[in-house]
Amino acid sequence: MASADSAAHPFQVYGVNMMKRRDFLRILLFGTIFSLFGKQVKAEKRPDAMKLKEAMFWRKLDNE
Amino acid sequence: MVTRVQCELCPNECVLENGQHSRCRARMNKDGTLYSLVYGKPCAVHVDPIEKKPFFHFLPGTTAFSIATAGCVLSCKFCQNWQISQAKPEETDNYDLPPDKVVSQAIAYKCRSVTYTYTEPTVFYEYMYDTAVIAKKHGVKNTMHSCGYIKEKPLRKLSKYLNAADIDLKAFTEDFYSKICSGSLKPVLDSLVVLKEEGVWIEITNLVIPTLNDDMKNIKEMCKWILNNLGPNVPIHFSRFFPNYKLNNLPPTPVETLIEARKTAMDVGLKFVYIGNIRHEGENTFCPKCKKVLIERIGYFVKQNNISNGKCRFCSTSIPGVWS
Repeated sequence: MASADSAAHPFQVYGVNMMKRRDFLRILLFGTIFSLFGKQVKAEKRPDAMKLKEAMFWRKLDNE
Repeated sequence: MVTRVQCELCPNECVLENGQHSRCRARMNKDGTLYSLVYGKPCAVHVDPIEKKPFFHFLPGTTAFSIATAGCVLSCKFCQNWQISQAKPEETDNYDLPPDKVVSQAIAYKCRSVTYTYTEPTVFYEYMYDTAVIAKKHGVKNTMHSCGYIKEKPLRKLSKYLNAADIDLKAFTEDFYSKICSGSLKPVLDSLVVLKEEGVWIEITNLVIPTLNDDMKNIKEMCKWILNNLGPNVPIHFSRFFPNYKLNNLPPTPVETLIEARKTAMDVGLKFVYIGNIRHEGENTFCPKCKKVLIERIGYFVKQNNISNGKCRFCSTSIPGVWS
């Protein structure tokens, strides 16, 4: 294992490792499988104006 | 006649002129009345494992119907969800999902709980509160992942319907909260005490960021405070930082730092100390008495669960948490 001041693997001090091809393929495979079984939430998207609801905790400060 | 208003929801206590938006971007003074701009308008809706929040002592292996709206009361430089937390409601792509629909969807997806998360649930307080009331009526539990930056009165009101809260204790110095989050530490500590008093199950998350909050003396002080004010049974999660948002100049947290933080917390006397965002045995729950693995996790997934009726299956020690 390289020491902290080693020039050979300068980034190992932070625990950063390059992803291996095997890891990449594993993530790709599992990602694909999980996305196939993933649940899509049914909710209607509506780009209209924001609904306004009066807030619960506030007070008027002054009347001018 | 123009009337200024003051929001009394969070410690920012925004004073707003007519037409002005709050600092969290989710509220507005309109003709002398303060309105929420995000009621029933979540920008994120997902079915997540409860372990993702993270809750490790709350219905393990179940799913949580998770919602968030745009906005946040803080502006942390390391935010993982800055695209929505630091956005205005009109800038995000929002769903139309009123409280009753949130609960019916949660039931339809067989979620045991609704979680208010991702951004800061305080900014959508009214939406969260109304949803929580309906959820409780239908036997669905309520949890939130929050920074705890909320005033006492609204937190106590919400707590009547809240089963669990995961609070981000981002550091244990006012300096960090001021410079990195544009907030302050004390209100967060106060919120933790209030949640404890109200009987809400608490877990704490601490994102360990290299050079900013990874000093072991501070971590030790934080753990002592938790022990003295909340007790030894409150789980704490030390999470690994990855460069994000405005802190791209820092490296990921060294694994050794997380392991040292975990050891520090356990030496102080905290019984359930976890490390997150890495694969490590620190993801598992161990029995504090017989030391055997109670819940083995791989990421967000539970591989085995040896807790039966809230007790260790091997030595019958009671394990604190919400298990059913």
